[in-house]
Amino acid sequence: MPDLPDVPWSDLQLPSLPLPELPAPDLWGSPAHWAVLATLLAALAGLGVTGRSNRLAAWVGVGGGLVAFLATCWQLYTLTQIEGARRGVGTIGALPLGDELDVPLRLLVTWPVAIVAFTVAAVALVVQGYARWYLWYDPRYRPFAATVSLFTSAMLLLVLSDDLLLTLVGWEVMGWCSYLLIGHQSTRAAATRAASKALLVTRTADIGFVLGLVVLASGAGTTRTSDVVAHWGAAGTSPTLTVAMTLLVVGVAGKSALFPFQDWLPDAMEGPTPASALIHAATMVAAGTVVLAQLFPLLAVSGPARLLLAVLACTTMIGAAVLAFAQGDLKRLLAWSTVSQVALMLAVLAAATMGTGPDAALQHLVAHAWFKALLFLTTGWLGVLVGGTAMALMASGARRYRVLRHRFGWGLLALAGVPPFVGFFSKEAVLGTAEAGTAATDGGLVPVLVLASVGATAPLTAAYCMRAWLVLSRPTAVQGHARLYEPGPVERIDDFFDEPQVVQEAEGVERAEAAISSSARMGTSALMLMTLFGGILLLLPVWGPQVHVDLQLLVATLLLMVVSALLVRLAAGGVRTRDAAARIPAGVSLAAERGLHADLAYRAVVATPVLALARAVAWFDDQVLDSWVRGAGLGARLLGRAGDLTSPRRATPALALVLVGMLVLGAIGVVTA
Amino acid sequence: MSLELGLVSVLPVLAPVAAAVLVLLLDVAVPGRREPHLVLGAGGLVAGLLGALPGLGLGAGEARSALCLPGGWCAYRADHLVSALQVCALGAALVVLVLTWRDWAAPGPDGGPEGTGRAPVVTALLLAATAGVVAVPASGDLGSLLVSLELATLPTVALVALVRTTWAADRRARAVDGAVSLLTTSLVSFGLLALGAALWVAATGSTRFDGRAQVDHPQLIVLAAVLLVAGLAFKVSAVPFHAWTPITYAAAPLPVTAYLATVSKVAALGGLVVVVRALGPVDGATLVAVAVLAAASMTVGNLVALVQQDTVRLLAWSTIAQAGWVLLPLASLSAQAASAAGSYLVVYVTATVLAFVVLTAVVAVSPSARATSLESQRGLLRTHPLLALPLALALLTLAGLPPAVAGVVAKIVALRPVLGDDTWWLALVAAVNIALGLAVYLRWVAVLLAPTPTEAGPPPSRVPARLWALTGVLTALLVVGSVLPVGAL
Repeated sequence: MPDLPDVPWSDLQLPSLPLPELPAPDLWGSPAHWAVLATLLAALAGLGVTGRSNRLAAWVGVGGGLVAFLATCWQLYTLTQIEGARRGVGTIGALPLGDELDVPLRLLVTWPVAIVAFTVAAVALVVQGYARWYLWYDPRYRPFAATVSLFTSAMLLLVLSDDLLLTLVGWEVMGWCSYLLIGHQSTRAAATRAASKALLVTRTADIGFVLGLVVLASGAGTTRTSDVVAHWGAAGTSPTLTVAMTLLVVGVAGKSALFPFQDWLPDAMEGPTPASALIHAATMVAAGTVVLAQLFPLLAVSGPARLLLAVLACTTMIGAAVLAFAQGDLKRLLAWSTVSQVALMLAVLAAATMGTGPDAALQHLVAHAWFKALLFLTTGWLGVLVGGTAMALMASGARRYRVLRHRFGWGLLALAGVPPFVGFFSKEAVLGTAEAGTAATDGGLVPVLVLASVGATAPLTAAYCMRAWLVLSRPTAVQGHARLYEPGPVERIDDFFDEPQVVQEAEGVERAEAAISSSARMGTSALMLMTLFGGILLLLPVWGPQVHVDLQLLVATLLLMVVSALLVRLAAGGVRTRDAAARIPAGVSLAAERGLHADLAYRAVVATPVLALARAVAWFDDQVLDSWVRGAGLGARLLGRAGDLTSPRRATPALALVLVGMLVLGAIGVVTA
Repeated sequence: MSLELGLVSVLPVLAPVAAAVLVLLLDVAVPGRREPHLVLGAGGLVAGLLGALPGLGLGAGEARSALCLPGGWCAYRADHLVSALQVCALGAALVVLVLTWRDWAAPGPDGGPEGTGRAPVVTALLLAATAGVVAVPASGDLGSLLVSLELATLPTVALVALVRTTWAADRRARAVDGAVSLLTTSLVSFGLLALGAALWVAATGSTRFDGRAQVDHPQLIVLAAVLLVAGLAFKVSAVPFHAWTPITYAAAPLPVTAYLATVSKVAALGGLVVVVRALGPVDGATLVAVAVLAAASMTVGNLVALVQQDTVRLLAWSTIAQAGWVLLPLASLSAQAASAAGSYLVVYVTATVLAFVVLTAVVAVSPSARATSLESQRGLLRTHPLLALPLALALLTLAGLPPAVAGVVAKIVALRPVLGDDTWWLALVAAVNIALGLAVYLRWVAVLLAPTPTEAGPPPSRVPARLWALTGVLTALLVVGSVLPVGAL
């Protein structure tokens, strides 16, 4: 291979252009306030005042999302006008907790944060518009829309927060909202089970998150994130910090579905597709990345926490990519791919050094948000057309409904990381960061592990993307028949509309477009555009410290991807459905679909012992402690009966009793005297 | 030596006594009438009540005195607490008079002489007993204490015995049994009182409760106090002087029972307060005897009340338990303890009177013979919600359970001196008895709330208007006491 030179990221970046000095009316509050409040108020209004009107609820939900989106756009503009591009604002004022703990409850906007917030608001807006179509006939659309608004508000709060308490609030509200969204179809047992599972698993991990935040805040004497970072950063490495960051990593692992908490996320596919798109693309699973990026200087100096994060993330990244390949349902395939991609974001945080900064993780978050939302919403669209998201139903979908073709194709290409789609740029940033980490630490364990895993995941991702694409673009039966009965060299008049294929395609476009509302369709189109051109956002000269793109590595990775895609194509060759996964033995395939039976492991390792303990405690309470109480009641009644029987019924024994009492009291008097 | 009379201050005592005399005179003047006597009696009680009311406004250290000697000692001395007790006693007596009005005013069989003894006699007895009750807490020396106590006790014996002649023979025999039981116990107790009084005189050399009299023999005075307390304990029905209570309560007519359960208790507590105040010089000491009485009373009372099947007997045993609560603060001798006991007594009297009024109303509307049995009140809330709710309120007050905040506050006030004194064993017994008390009263409340038994009895008769009025007034008192709890007097 020829020796290719490194390309600095700054060479790729767009030149810094001066923006026109637009008149910037000073609005009340800052855009950050508007973004959080608009969605929060939309949630409250959606629950409180929309009554029984779906239409009003949709206006409220979409309107709140729109205001938040405009606010985040405005926020991007204001950042260009601010020297240093850093804007901190207060919220409700500091909590009066005395001198021990300072809780200023402030928000902080910087460039990466503003871009993430923009992405979150945009995806949420698209999801609101999509849900208005997707759940229009759902009797519980109104609570759904309100929950989506609340969820968005919580994520925006977490992203913009400069206070660990606000971060925690956003984190927990998202946890509860995810429960509501996943369990939306509460009459289905599978949905309620998935919702409970998501809540239980993430909340179990949240124990670590809360404890970690408490340790950090109590050590620093403040909950303001920037002060916490400054305080612990100045103190250097200490066991307390390491413990806190390790706990935090455990919490993040739960929310981001890292091994061993990974199993809740594929099950969360029981939620309606808009909810899946929101949870998986931009919000909940990515929240851990944002939090760790905010606390990055502390993570960088806690070796064990980084190692833990790297090991968990790398295991998850590769394992989930492999599992994604074997799924029999497109939505579950996307879910496992989310698990893998989120692990990628977190892995790069572990590999990054202070020199490179955490920005690559946020760049991948943004890129992932665009293409994953696109893929989910398109899958939902196709699911409505074909009546399910199983691979067998989805087969030929992109051919029958050509309007979906580009959406699926671009989304999968971006997911695989093919240039010039958005995923390519973010993955290059990830690779560059991991490589820089390797160079900076002279081949330290963590960066090497991450680099190797990212390198291994790239062809795996390409493989499952190829598999999905082959299934989706399989020729339809009509096309197959047409090919079978290819007429010989017969002269015929070229009648365009006589071609069955053309008729079918026209029908497909007609049906697909008739099925969806214009606003939902427009949303997916916008996502499609961002999937293609989102790279521009990643190449803005506002992202942090620079990395070098190793062209050699880049070419090698791309080659690996091509090879794996070709292998998949080959494997799919002889299969009628063109599904490469059909080559996998049935037993393995089934196990993969069930997440390698992680459920059983959860049950055996956590649920059964906890339940046994609970039963033991309940038995102790019921049989041992309560028996005293019951005995006391019985004893009191027996004593009462005895007292009733022995109490005198006539005057004479009563008199005897009086005399006895007199003697006793006299004795007491004599003794005390 | 000149005596300062100050008759206006004695009006709470004088008015009932004068009314009693007038009733007897009126009977001589116009024999065979009933209503005028009752009206006159009620007037006497109201006049006494009005006379006692100004005492409620007295500040700390102030008192309305009468029959004073130049040295500053007064035979009659009513301060704020004493006035409150007097108001309480007179009010309760008035309620009892209203309760029993129809019974005492009713003509006998064939329209002849009335069945319940004779209206003038019973009215005079009631007035005399009430006058004694009112005089007890105000007495300034041993002599007036003993005399007023006997005045408060002996007429009630006659009231218990004088039942309607139309009652069945065995029922009347039981009434006599009850009266005898009350009489014998009161006589023995009087013996104890006399002994205690003698020891007191021996110890202090004076019959007056000066509070500051020189104590010649400190040991003797404690013994004297124990004997005095033992003598008074019969009246407050503390264990083991309680045996007469269930016997007499179950035998006497319901209004008389109410009288014994409420007005008589004021006399007992008044006497105890007088003794406790006189024991001022040995302030701070814990009177073990009172503590033992209190603990035994509440425990035995609650335990036995827990298994009663008859509401009157249940109330009798509940009275015994509540006597323990009244005695509880007195276990630590202090002014605060006396006022704590006083405020507990006021709450207890109000709640108990309300319970008896409702019970009378239930008996009035219920056609069944065993109307006072607990079982006959099953589902009262559905059939007579306006009777059941006040009854439940009264029971919750006695139990000390919200929403009857008055009862809760009373219990806290009663416990405070004990806790301040660090008498932990007593506080512990009291805590156990709070739980027991809840079981006792909630058992009754649960019966009220239970579904109505299905069998349809004969149609109930109407509740007399006077009972409605009494129920309303007493419920309002309890509600006001719960909304604006006053704490210690």
